[in-house]
Amino acid sequence: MNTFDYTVIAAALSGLIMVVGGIVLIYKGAMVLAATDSGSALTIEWKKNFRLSTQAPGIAFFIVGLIFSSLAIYAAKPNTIESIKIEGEIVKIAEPVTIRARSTTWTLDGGTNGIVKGRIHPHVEDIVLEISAPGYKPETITFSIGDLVDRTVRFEAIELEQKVPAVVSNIENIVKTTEPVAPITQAPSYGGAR
Amino acid sequence: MKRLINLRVVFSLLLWITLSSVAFGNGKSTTVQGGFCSLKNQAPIPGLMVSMVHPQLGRSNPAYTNEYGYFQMFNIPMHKVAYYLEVYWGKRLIFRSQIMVQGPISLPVKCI
Repeated sequence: MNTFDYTVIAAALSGLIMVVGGIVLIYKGAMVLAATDSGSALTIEWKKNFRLSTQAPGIAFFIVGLIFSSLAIYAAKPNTIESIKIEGEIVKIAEPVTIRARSTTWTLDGGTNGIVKGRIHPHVEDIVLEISAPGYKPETITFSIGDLVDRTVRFEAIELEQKVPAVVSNIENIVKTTEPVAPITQAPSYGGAR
Repeated sequence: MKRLINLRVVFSLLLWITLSSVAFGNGKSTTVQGGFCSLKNQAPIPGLMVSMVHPQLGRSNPAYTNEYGYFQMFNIPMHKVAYYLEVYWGKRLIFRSQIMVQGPISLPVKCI
């Protein structure tokens, strides 16, 4: 959790404490919701668009609490990540094609004396598509997210260069497992690859 | 008394889960790299899918061999039980060997 998360939690707790505390204060009689005279009424006015007037100022306690809670909920709302569609064609290939997408590299300029201190801004602007198939030379396409129409990457027909004919399975190359292992279809649970 | 025993069981389970996840999460990890070539013409094989699979830890994210036939995987947890390194031609298994991962591993180029 970062500082912002702690702030959101603090705001939510503050709102909750104000609302619950208000109820407790009313219960104990330290605060009343009884109407006052119209001259001492609490009035909240914003320009000429909004005006709230109450003769029970204790309500303000709850309103402030609700504002705290509402702000916390609004700030904690997760950002929706929009997907990017990919449309294209790989021609003259019988092998299954894999397309992997990655961001371009963010570079940090180090100092000349070996001390590294700086910031990177991991904002995705460019994406690299790597198209590969077994036995074929991989191809890469780089595109800028800002240039996309309808958030769709479209590429023309691509022909991969075959380097090696299909490798035939040889039982001598496959050791038997001594205990059951996860099938290839199982979701990965660790590790990364370049 | 019965409720107290239940609470102890639940508490022990929670403690075990927490410690296990901490141990797995903080365990040392390392890199595994290597390469593959064709037995027919010794040419590097690009586009092979390489995956590590472990009887207890499950399967790793796959790596793909580049145009020189090399792959590199990182963040592979070190473990006293051996892994299997599997290589797929598309979805067809063409190679599997057993390897111990207790430090960085650089496998020699294997022609298959």
